[in-house]
Amino acid sequence: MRLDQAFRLSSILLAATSFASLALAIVLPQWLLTLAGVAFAMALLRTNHASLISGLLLHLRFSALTWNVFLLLAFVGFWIDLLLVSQELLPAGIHFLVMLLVNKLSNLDQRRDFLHLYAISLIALLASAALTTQVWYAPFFLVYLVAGVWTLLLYHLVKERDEYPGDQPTGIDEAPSPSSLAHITSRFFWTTNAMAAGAFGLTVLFFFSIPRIGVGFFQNNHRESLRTTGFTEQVDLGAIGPVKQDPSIVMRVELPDAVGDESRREPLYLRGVAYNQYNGKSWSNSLSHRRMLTELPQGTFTLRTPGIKPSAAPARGLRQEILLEPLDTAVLFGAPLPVSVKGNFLSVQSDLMGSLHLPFPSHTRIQYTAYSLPVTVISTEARATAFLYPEFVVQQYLQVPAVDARVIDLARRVTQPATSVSETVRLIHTHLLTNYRYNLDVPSLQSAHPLEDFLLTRKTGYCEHYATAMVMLLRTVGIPARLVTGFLATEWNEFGHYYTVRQRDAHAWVEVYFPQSGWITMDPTPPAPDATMPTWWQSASSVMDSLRLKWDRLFVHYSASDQFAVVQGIRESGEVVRAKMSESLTAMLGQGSTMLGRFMKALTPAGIPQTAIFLIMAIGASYVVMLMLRQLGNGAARQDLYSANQRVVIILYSTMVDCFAQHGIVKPASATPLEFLRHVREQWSEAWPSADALTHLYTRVRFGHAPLTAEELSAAESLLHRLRTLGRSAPPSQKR
Amino acid sequence: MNSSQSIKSLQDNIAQVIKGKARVIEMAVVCLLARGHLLIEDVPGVGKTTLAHSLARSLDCSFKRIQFTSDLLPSDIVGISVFNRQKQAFEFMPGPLFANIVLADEINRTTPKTQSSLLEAMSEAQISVDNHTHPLRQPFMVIATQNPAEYHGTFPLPESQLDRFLMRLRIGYPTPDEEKKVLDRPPSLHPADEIQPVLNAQHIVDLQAQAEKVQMEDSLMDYLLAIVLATRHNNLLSLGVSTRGALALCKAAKALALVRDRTYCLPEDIKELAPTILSHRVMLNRSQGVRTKSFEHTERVIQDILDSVPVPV
Repeated sequence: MRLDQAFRLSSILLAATSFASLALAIVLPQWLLTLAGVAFAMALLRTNHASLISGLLLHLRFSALTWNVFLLLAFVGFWIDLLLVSQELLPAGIHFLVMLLVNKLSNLDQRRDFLHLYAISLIALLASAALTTQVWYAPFFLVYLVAGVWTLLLYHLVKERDEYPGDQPTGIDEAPSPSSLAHITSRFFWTTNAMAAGAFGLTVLFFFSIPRIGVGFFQNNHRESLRTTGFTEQVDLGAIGPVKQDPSIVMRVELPDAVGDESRREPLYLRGVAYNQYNGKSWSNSLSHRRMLTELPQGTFTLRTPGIKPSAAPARGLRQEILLEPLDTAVLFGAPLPVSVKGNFLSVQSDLMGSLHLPFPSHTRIQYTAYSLPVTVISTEARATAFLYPEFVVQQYLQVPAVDARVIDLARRVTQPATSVSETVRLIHTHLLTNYRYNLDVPSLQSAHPLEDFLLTRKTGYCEHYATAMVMLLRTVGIPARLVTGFLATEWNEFGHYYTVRQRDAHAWVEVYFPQSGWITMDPTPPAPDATMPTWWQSASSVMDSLRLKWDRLFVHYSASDQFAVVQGIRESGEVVRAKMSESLTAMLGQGSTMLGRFMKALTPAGIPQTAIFLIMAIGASYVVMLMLRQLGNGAARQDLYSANQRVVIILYSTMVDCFAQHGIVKPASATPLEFLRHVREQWSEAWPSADALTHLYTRVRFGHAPLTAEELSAAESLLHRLRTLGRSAPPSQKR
Repeated sequence: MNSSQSIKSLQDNIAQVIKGKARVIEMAVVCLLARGHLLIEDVPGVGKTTLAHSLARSLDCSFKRIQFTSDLLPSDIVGISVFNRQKQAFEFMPGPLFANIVLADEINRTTPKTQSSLLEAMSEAQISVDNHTHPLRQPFMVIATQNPAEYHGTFPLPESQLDRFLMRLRIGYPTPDEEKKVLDRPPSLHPADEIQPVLNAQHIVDLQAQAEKVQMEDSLMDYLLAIVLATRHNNLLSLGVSTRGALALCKAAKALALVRDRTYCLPEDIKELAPTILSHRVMLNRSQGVRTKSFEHTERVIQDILDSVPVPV
């Protein structure tokens, strides 16, 4: 490949990368995309000098005037765009930028045209950076960096060649004229790539190490909120059905304290809103009055739960780290039953049924920690035949709309054998689980009596039908219950160790009231048949998702508190490492003897290969030890460059020089000891005798290797002391 | 008589003749003890020849003087093989170079051919004539003088020859007081004839051996090399100091330490000797607009270099 060709190609690659990232970040008009594509294709074809098409293209040049008119039109178009069409600076500017790009691509003749192209592509890349926080930007950026390094190096080579045409080596025969790529070896190629990667690594380092102030710029970036169903004041029966196919991600949940086999996580219920009123077609919440929760320190908001101190609740509960995508609802989710949330919230509200709400839906992704206490039936209530319910519960949770008599009949029939309340609940639960079929294709909204349809005639349905049926059956036999909507997280991401919760995981289930125990979670819906995906695809998508989560966590939402956490983590792990080191050292001493015994055993004929391995390892280890010892020896030798006496007098002499420096008599680096002594005599004759004695002691010991006696040392020290006091009591009079 | 006393007496002896030039005398003695050769460069009539003379007279060893003129031939100084009729063979008649101290007066007045005949004698202390190598006496020292003020009919010394001189000295004019003392002397007698030898050849050889044993600390060696390296990288100089130059500085510094009654070198020794020993071994850059051999100029450049190289602490 010729130098010119390589240069053109890498320039076009550079421009193409930035254009592609721009096109992905913002929706460009169709005609603009086409225009740019044509320009790129033409530029690419032109790089190939020999072909017929490029010959044709060479004739197909527009004159400079045409391009000037084109640019003028583009500029006018920019103003029209800005004022009338898009009415915003950013899109209009980007459209204009693409026009400029097209112009430059079609007129790559001189070197400065290439420079302009680089400038335009840099602006395009920056613009797309400002427009997106998506993870796909990273590879584009990397390619841009690599192409940028190539291009600039090639640019320099081309420039050198053009400016100094005579300097080219002419010794080689077939050769290649100056414009060949003779000196661009694979080493050159890899060096440039390594340089680009190094620049990228440095950027990452800077990104993480430069202190953050406040919140990130991208954190406040507006995004499209996800539209959810099932969390409004009133929910029609069957509203969740349509979203059961939607794979968009709603939230991701980590269980930092959970232990056990990670590959088979239990499904996790994430409770959203509860409903208590059913009118035959839709559920509503008559207890929607919300009150503010008081904030404990560190942004923790706790529900007042009887019997549990607010401050103690987080310590006992199940901790969930939740990263919630921007939704159109203000509900905060948590495993049943959430008792406390911790996050960067202004305020948190709760209604009387334990749902948590923000004051308004968030337009950004929010991250919070929820603490939940699972509720189970306590043993005294498990066998009770009847309960006396409080007045409030009777009023709110036993309401039943006018239902078909057959439903009441069914309830009675199912619960006939029951001997206790919990037995009754269990019978209804099993009845629904076993006798009904899960099916999403239910024309529910047309039906006037969806509940009766489900229970008596069709006998197929999905979670809402099951839950509604169970609540109604329970209420019919006098047990208070309510419907809960939320998500059922089943998708465990093994790579990121978190649950991925999607729109299609939306779910509805039942909570049954026991006076002492509280609200017990029950799910009458049988598990949906698995939507089977090819496993490689599944794992690839989960890797991709965990990558995306990491990108969001590490880059988009990286903040000062994260930096602080990193520093703290490093310090803690340092302590852990120290503790482990001492632990393993003691363990090693103990294991040494057993190792030796095993080694001796391995020396038997059967274990010869093992012995060989052991021997090789031992030789390697001793070699390493030897190297280390030699290193240490070198270090020691370097230390012994000066004898102890020499070091002492060097210190003494330097102290003296410092002392004089404090009085304004500075020793230049190039002055020898005796020269400095003469200088001292001229400047400050009182100090001279001491300096003279010290200097001579210094030269004798330092350069003559004379022994240093204790008397000499103490005399020298007293001389130094005298020098200091002399300076203090009588400042040098002759000092200039 | 120990070494310091003998050196002292030698210096005192010369000082009787050369008034008020203690430093010059010290340098000459250093040159002798370092087994070097001395080039004295100054205007006529300041005592160049007298210095050489009195140094030679102070030592009980042979002394020859060669007046270099433009028609002098190599055989005139080295010696010549003459056919001996009785023995029917060629016989080598040694020239004036076969002496302990040789004064080469006005060395730049002779042709380069003759100048270069000194080369072997100065560096190897031996002479090759007609396939025969004749060793010279020990100690052997060449003291050359030259007059920088005259240019007509002179042949400047080639670089290779200059490099073989350990040091180049200037004597300079005496102060008025000292000059008066010189005038006071009875004019009938050459001052150098008055003095008596104080040391013999063996003494000098012993002292030379002693000078070699003076120790030089490792860091001082580095200091010395740093100076030498700086001359090679200085852009005022087109030619830096050679390894022979570095060796010369090392030897001279040891000799100076002995002269000053020390068994070890100090940074002083190196720094003080450097201009004398290095200035004739470097060449100034012609582009700097100065004449190549200007004495003051090269010394100033060396001095600047010394002021930039840090002394080891």
